[in-house]
Amino acid sequence: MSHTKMGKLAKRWFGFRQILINSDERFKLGFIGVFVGVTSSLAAVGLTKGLSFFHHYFSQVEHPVISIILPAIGLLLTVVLLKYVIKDFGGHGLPEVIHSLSLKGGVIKLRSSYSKLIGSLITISFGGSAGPEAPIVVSGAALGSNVARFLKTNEKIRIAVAGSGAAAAIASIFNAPIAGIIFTMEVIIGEWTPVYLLPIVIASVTGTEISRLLNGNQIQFSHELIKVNLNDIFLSIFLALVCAFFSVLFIRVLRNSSKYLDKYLKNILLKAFLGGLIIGLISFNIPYIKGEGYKFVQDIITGHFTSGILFILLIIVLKIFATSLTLGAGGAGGVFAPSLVIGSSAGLFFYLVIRALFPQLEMNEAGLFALVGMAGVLSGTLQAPLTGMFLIIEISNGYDAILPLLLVSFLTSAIVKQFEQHSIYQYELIQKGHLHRPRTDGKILADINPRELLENDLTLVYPDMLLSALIPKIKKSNRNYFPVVDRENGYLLGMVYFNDIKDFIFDHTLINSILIEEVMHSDLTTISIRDSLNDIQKKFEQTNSWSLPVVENQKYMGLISKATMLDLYRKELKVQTEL
Amino acid sequence: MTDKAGMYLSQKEVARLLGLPEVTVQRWIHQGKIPTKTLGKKTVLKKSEILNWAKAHDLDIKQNQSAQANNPQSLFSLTSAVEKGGIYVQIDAHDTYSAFENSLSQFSFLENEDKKLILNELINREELASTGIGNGIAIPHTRSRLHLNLDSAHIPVIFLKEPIPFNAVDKNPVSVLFMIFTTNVKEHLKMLAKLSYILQQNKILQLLADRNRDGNLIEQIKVVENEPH
Repeated sequence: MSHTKMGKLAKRWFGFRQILINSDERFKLGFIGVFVGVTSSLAAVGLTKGLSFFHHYFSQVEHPVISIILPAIGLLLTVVLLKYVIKDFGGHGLPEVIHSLSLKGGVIKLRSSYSKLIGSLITISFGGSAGPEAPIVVSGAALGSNVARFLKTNEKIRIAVAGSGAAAAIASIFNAPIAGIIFTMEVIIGEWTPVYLLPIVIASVTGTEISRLLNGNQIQFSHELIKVNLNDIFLSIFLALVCAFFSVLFIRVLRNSSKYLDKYLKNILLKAFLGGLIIGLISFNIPYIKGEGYKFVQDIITGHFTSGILFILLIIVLKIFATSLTLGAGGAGGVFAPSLVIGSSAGLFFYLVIRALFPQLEMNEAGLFALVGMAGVLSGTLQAPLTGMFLIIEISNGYDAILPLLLVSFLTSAIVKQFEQHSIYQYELIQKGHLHRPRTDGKILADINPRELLENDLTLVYPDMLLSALIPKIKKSNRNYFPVVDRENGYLLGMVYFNDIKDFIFDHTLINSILIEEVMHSDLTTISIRDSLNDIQKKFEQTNSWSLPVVENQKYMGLISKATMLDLYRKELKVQTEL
Repeated sequence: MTDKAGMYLSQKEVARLLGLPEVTVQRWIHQGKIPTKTLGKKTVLKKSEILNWAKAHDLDIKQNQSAQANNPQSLFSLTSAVEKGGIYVQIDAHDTYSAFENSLSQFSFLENEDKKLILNELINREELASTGIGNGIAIPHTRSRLHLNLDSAHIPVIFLKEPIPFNAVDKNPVSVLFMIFTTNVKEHLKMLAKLSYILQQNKILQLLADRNRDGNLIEQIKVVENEPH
């Protein structure tokens, strides 16, 4: 009996699914937007609640040895869990999401929806220095992507929906719907298109509402701004320099730490343990660098934390170092929260320096500079000035500081770009050649498969044919080159170009005494069908040729010509352009 | 516009560097797609800036701008190939094998240890298809280019004492051999084209039929090769 009931339920469920699959595209986007908004917001609330639970629990630990060793245990657990149990990789995971959205049509593994979440919960709550934002964004995007797959949407919708998950994640962590939208457009998707905007806005707003429902309408870093005066705006310009300096430092230390750790410590378990131990030793003495650091940021903004100039400088440097070590040693988590910690500390540092230099100067409290500094460093490390600016506007609950925020975000990202071309997220992808923004040359070339360009209507010739036998083939063919293949195995041996032989082929003096193989070019540059179009394009440029033969296991497959490539390239560009 | 230190490039130089027409570079300057600097009233292109910009946009830069361009016709001279190969007269032979063997023994431009292999390859090639092109002329060569220690094409011309059967296209016996040794396919193609041309010229054919042996042949080839056709 229960069997039939189950059957009925399943039928109803799949009937529901079918209705959704068949529904209007906008309705579908709306529905998925709400669904993804709810789920990724639950993931965000779950992780932040989990973090504060463990925070509370671990903060009662008083034994020095245990508190020193905790981060090491956390990193070890994370690595073992991700590597051997869930079989996913560590790090922040955002580059993979960006890669998937730009190149793989938004397909993200379902297991990514929880792997990073659990990993970062352990890493951060045990005292590793990293942020929970990236894991939540990855979860949200993975959930969105899988819902889209379940509803059999096309690639474009899937990308939009995966992006919605990311937007909802940021929106619900910070109670900041606009920052969620802008973060997704600026950092994750990388283009501003109306098609993407609709579900992203829906998910972002839904996510915010859900988190308000569960957490109350509290602003993550609440702060009542005092009126910004002219001096503050003027000082912001100099604060941008400070932010840019720490952003570049952070980007470089982070990048090099994993490089050096990989080089000198091959054993991943040993790497995690030693890395964690160093973090434990540092954070035992200076606890401010621990975890995601929201509490510390809050204290700086509200003025509950004050220190000397050198001590806050030390905190900034150690935070950069500890975060790089955490992520380099295999911890799970992102750089978003650490950027906020570094940014607010940089703001405080700047405030203290100015205070010391010009004690008489009329200027705002440290809290304002901490907020503006957060926007600056976030803009610098993520190369996302709008995200930095709007996040701080939303979490500081007002547009009062919009001018200094705009100045610092814009200047910092511009200055950082002079030193570092790419953001923390992009760098990894660039290294692997995986960053392709929509409607760029790289994206179009990456979308086209070499098979689409394969021409195999060419007249083949054999090496032992007399040149005289080529004449009727030339007359019939509309090409002026002829691939020479082995009669038995079809291997490509060379190419005969009409241009090479036109001087004597119609003269009848030599053509019965010359074999095809004697006039063929055999030192050919060939293309593999698995080459990317970018590689193929490079080969065309290097060899200065108009067409190149395609070979698979030495066998002749056909030919790819520049003309066909241009033709398809233009058509691809046309369909990739939104109307 | 250009300066001594080579810090700035002209539009023309940038165009050549990028392998593009100059008008394209001009359009890019107008549309602000390529970085420019303003020096006084002039718009200039800074070399280091252009190179960085090209790299960032994944544009190929042609470093050796003129290296390939100078490939003068004289590099592929039939006259010099025949000169290098030499002219050999009164060679004894009764069939292709002895003709090749006796000719090869005369060539000083080939290593002695290579000659056995070359002979085999020449014979194999004849078995596949005769190189007798008619009018008593043959152009023996090997199927693939052997690794001979030659700097460029060598085309020795051999006058046989008596015509020998050669299974030529016109079934006539052969008395003159143009043996072709080349170093690469480009050269080979060029030599074939030139041979094809000169072997249609009556002056040359008469010289060959008369079995003129006084070195006049090279002179005539030079004349025919250099006359415009």
